[in-house]
Amino acid sequence: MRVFVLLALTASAATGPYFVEEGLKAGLKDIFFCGDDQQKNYIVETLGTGVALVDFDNDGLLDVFAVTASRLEGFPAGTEPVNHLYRNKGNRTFEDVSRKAGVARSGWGQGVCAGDIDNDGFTDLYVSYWGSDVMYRNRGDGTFEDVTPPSIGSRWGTGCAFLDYDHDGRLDLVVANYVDFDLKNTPRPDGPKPCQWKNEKVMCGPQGLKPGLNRLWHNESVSGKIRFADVSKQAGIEKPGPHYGLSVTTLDYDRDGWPDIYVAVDSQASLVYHNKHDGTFEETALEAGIALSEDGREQAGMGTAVADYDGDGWPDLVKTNFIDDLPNLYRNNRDGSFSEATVKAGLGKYTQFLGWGAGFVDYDNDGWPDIFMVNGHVYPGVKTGEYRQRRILYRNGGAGNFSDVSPDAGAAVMQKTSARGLAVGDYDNDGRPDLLISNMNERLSLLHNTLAAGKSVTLKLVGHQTNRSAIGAVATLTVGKRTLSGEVRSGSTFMSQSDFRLQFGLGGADQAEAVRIQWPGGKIENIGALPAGQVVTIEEGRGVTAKAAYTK
Amino acid sequence: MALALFQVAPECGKSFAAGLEQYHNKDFRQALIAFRAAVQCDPTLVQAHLAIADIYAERGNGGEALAALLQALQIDPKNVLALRAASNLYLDSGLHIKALPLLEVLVTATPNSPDAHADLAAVYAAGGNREGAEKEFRRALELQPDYFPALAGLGNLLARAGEDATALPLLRKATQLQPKAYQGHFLLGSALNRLGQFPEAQTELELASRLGGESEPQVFYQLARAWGGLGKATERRAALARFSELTKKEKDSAELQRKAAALIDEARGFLEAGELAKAAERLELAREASPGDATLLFRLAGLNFDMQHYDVAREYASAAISISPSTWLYHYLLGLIEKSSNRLGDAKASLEIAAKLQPTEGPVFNALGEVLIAQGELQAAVAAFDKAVRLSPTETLFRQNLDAARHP
Repeated sequence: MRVFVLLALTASAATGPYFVEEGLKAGLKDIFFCGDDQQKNYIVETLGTGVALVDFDNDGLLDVFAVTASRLEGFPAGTEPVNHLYRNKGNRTFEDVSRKAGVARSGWGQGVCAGDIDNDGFTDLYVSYWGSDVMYRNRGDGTFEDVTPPSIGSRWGTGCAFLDYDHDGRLDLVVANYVDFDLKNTPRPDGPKPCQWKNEKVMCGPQGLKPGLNRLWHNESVSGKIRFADVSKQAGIEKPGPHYGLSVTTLDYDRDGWPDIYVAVDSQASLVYHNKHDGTFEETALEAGIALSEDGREQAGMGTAVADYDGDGWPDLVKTNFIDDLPNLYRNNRDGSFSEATVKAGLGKYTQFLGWGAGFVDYDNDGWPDIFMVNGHVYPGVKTGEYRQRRILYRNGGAGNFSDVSPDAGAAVMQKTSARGLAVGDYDNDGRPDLLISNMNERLSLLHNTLAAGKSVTLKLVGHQTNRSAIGAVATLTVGKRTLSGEVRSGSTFMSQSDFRLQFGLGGADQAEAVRIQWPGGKIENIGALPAGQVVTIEEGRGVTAKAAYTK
Repeated sequence: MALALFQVAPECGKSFAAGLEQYHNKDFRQALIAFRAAVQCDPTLVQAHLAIADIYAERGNGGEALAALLQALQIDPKNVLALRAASNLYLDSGLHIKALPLLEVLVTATPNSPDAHADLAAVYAAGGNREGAEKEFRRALELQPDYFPALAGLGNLLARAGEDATALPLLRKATQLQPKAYQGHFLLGSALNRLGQFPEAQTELELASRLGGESEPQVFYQLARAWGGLGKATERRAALARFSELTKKEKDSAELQRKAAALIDEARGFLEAGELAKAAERLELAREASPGDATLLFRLAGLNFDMQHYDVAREYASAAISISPSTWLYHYLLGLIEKSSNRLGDAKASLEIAAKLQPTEGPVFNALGEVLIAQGELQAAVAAFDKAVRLSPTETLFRQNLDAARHP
């Protein structure tokens, strides 16, 4: 135990930089657009786009998928920006395979989430649009086919997540819709009826515009034929009415074994759909204490992330909000409700940031999930706030307290962009989590974690009776006197998809003494000790089926 | 308001003095008319603008009050009364950004005023300027250590920043100073919740709800947190239900206001297209959403007048006047309505008030002249037309009326 503490202290005392920007060097050279950068005339120009870290070709390396929107005035024919898929070549570089893979689509893309919808072992993608969303089935040969349900319609889709809400072994889909947006009838800042923010003319919305309705799609695919049915109404998703829904994250917040859905909502109370185990949901965010701010105010919720930050075995929640407000850190009370711990935990320091993607990332592998947030304003020209803002890395001190270590973390963290999407994952399999960020009208940022501190083990879970992506499975590790837990999750952060694999920092410990997997539906599988320093594949009912040592 | 602390230019003093007298007699309608006359006589008479603002504010007409205060500030930008009252009105409307420059001037004009510093601090706090807010709250407390708003405000600011050890004594002192002010108990209860001291939080919040916080949703939100912390699920649910009910009420009201504004916009479109009936229909719907809006009532009166629905028009005009009695336009319109209904006595009375409120409007005197002619009061009619012509020398109709009255 003494050794563990000493090593943990060593990690905390390490000097930076911890993260180094490697995006361009790695080959992520394209620019991802969302409206004009000097003047936002419409709210549709403000959300930016999402990113994903997924292993689409099952070579054990995380690939990058990045969504682009466009510009309202458009681009000359043939030069329209498209979504990009970058294949990880294994030497910390990527190659663009978008066209070959069939995903180089233009349009007003927004978010992305992933999951194996047909349980064929290859990760599929869902891309939300202002327009018609697109569902891609991964054929397993490096290409994708468009299997978008015909009834998907044209909306303004934002965050999305796959989950198996009814435990039938097939991944269903939840999609947030932001605004029922009508470009022609929305006032412009330079028009006769502009909107104002702090006495300056700005684009209008979301308040005053018609909110969207969240959708739930039930997977009814049979024999390889992809079919999703809209069950939003009968499942109770429509019941709370229209909302300005943004990010979607799934979590079993009351640990009843059934996945619940949290939607961060802009300018209204956020929502949690509690799974009633019968194919329906009940909205309970107010009762659960995760709808509003600590003082009962509606906030402009943007991004969300879930992890057990205090090590009690229950999932906690972090949410980013608009400028002049604090983020929320909701600590799980273990009784179906949460208490706001934002200020007490040290996240009450800044109100000048407008937060988007948020992720729990144990960057120093000490076993305590840290928090990373990306920021950026929605109004480029205003005098009262910075459009490009730095990122924030909060280190979890292990006693419910966080401290801002961004300056030590390096220039890559302190870099100012108007960032939106964020995905967390270890793209070079060195046992340290890295960060992928989408920046509005700029290249992606790829923050390579270089901090040589602590040990870790990474679990890749594969379902068989349950969904193949193992979304909803919970791994619990015993490390000394501590218990670490994590859930495989689709969606989350801000319109983005992080690595499905669960990476656990072990501090100075050489192994996790015991590993327990709870598969969706509740089946428990106990795995023995797992040494640090490797990616371990655990298949449902088959135990450990593969091990791969970390790269040096 | 200190109405008697200033001097008035001699030539305008009569109207102003009359206004003061009516004000002290609590005849605010007549007082307004007199103060308006004083302002007509001397537009730089700051005190009259302030008096008008005071009366409007008393009657709950914040918009008119603010307009009068801003006029006063144009004349005297450092007028402390106007700065204070205008900033308060902005703060009441949640327009912190507009209150900010006024309060910054007020603080320099009255550097030893704890309330100016505390108000400025509150605006800084609302705008996320924590450092500025703390500095101003502390300055207010230096000037007056027992100043409740500064104690409560600084306590709340520090509690929200997690500085509980410093915050709690301030909030406790605030509740001791003003034990019957619900805000102090609410803020103390909220801070105690944050610290997990739920039994005391619950006591403070119950007290807050009994002392005037019963219609404040946030009191019940905090109370729910306290009950939750105490493990009282039933009580927590009840508090959350009350919170939801009050929040819904607030939202419904805001939604009605928004709808009213949208309907007015639609009405404007119909009006421009000459579709008076459709415009009136939209305005009537807007009025249902926002019944206390005098401007809206005036617009409805005007539309119905144009459509020759005089009885309806009269009703709307009278309602507008009851809300905003010193607006000459409303009296003028009512005069025109009565004239068209052939109710000449009432028409004359309304037009005379309009003329008194706004003695520089030619059309008012012309209309008055027409009524007087119809009543057979030739000499008075000539005088009215004569004034109309002098005020609007290019108006042919007024001159024709004057000639006709002189040579019947």
